[in-house]
Amino acid sequence: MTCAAPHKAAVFIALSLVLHFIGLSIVSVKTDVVITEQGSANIEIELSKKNSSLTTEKSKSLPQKKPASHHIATVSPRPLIKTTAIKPIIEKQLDEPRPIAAANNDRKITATTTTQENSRSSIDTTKITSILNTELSRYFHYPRAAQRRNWQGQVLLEFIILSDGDISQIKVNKSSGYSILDNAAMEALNKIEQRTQLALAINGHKLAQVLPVTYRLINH
Amino acid sequence: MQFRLIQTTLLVSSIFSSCLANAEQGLLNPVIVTATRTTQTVDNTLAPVTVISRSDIENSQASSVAELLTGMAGMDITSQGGLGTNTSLFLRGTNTNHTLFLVDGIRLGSATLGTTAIELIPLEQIDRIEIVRGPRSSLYGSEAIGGVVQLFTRQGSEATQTNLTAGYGTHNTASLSAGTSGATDIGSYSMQAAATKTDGIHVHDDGHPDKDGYQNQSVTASFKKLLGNFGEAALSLFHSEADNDYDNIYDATAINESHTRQNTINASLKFFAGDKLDNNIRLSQQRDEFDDFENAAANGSFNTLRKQALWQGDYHLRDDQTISLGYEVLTEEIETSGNYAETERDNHALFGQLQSEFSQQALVLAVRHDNNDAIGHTTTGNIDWRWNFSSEANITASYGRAFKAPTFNDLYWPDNGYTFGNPNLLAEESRSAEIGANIKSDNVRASFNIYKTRIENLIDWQAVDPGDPFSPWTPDNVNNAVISGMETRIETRLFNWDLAFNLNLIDPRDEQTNNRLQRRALKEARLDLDREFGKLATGVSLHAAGGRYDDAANTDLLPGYGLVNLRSSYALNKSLSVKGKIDNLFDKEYETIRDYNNLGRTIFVSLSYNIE
Repeated sequence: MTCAAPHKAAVFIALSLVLHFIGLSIVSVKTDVVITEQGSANIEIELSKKNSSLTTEKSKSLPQKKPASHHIATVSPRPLIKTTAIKPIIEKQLDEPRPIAAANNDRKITATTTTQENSRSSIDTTKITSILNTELSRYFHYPRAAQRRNWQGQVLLEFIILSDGDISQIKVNKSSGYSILDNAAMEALNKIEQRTQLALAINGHKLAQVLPVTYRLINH
Repeated sequence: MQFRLIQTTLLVSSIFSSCLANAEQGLLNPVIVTATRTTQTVDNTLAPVTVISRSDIENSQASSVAELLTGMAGMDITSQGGLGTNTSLFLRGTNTNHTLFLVDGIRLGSATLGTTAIELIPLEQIDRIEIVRGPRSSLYGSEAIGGVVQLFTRQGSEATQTNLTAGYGTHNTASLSAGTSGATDIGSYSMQAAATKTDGIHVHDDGHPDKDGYQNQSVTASFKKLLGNFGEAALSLFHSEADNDYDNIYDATAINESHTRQNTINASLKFFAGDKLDNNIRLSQQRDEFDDFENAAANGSFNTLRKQALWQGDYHLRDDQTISLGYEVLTEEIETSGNYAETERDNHALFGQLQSEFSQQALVLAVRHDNNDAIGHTTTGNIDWRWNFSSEANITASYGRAFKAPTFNDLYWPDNGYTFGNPNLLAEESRSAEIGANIKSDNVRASFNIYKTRIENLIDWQAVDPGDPFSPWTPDNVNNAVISGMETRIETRLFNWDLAFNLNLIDPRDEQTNNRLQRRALKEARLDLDREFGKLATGVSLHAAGGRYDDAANTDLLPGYGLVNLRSSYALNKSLSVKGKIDNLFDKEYETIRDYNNLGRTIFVSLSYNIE
């Protein structure tokens, strides 16, 4: 796979990352979705909010990791489950005004404001995250066969949210190693129905997404 | 170029790689789907089960299987005193050879004697113990009359772990154990080595007045490779060598000792066909090699070699309905210093099981047919039912038949003028019925069971001519026994103390004489209390057992006793902890077998290093 303008993209990402880390450390609300399946029946959904201290830690790792990443073209995203936090999804067009200047000036307040304004002006990312999470927790379950066989792992699903809120082109980006888990995750995503709400949140844009689904067995 | 970017606060590396992989994708927060890890044995049975984990073993600081299990639900244990001495387990009041012991799925024990030397099992090697109470011949075949004790050796997990423990205590008892486990690209592994030695005590008043010591060295190794959708392959090894001094009660000048080697090798392959069929193929081998010495001269040797091949297929008709079918071939070979008429026998078994769950009920039907060279055909079965009348409580009822094949000694013991075997023996056969109630809430786990077992054709050694005091002895299927009992287990947390209470009430009788079966206590209770105070953990075990008759005629009563054991551990840092225990705090003198001394007060201190 190739990236059309990796260098340009890298610079852009680096800059806006800095900006967003700063912004997020101030505004972010972090949400982990944990779906616990007890035996066969009850599904508990746990939505936990954490404070933003993790974001600061992650910012520190930014300069070390950056150079190496340039050369790794096929490394799959491996989000750390424990520290995974909010990801307000912010879509921006290249031709839109970007908060790079603000970042260069290292002005935290400006950066934050810009981010918020940007996200508001395009799509309501918090709302998308929230809708997806609620919907996903409704449909995701641990397949019994996988539970029985002690199978666990992480599958990365990629899909596109169309401007009408429809979720299409669901594909396995990276397999968990077990087809039962991969298929269960795809099926769950297929069942999502809140198109109207998603359409409102997405505000006429088209959004490509990657969703990591982690299947994990716990000792009681 | 139309460049669209979505950002997240995930690790920077993942952002970059995801950009390079596909510039247009954003990463959402992971959805984490969890479920409870299932354990095969526990979840597949409706019978009462006790599970003891590695951390339970470590927290208890128990030095032996007997110390760990004594007084627990259904467990009555007698011993000739101290580590490594002959130990008998009467599970639900049945005979010692009515409990099947499995190590990683293969039988452990001697085919000549028909019992398992549980006193020689090194606890350091054990990851988990699962005790199923009640008959299980319908799944495992011979011996599972009182129940099944499954021992699982250590397995590696994803996290790399290293452990090192050294301890020392009363009677010059020392132990050392070290191991490592983890996972690599090719699979997960575990290795553990352990050694224990003790000077012991003078075991029997009539024997040689020296101390009867014991030592044991053991290793286990295991390897498991996950094969994705296809299945998984596993290999495990267990080896233990024990030296045991004992007293000859007929000759106080004799010095007796025995050397026992036990080992198991187990290779298994699980392969999955679609979502519904799980196949399990296992090839196992077990050895039990016993050499006896008197005054340093060889005094008999008894070796057992078992080879087992098993296929079991579990077909999941629905999520809540499983049908299992299996075929097992077991070959038992013996090699002894004496001349047995037969030294090998095969057992072929076909078994099937149906497990079904309805809305509030569950049903298990099992049937097994064994064809043994020595005793012919035996069919056993189980029917177990459970009603979950609330989300936190259920009641159970079950009925089962089980059997015990006669041992090589029973059948073929060579005629030495005093004793000889009886090749015409039949299998001992049992029928058991029970009802139970279970509560499982956030704070309380309780189970209560009432059972009744009748065992027919019990084998007993008797004089061929009862009127002749010099008559030789031979075994015969002469006795029947009826055992009724109830067991209670309650686990809860009170005022920050973890509490586990077990109570066994039992009435084991010989049907003909109506006498109580030898060496069974009618009442037995155990209470464990444990609490953590930050880095300090402390606990106490109280164990009380009623009197036992040492003889079948019920004339020689051994009085009951109560014991108090204390234990504490202190975490010096994340990986280093110091532990100490005092067993038999009040130095109570007691016997579970007439004239065999038990340990008085003992102290044991250990230092343990665990790093992940």
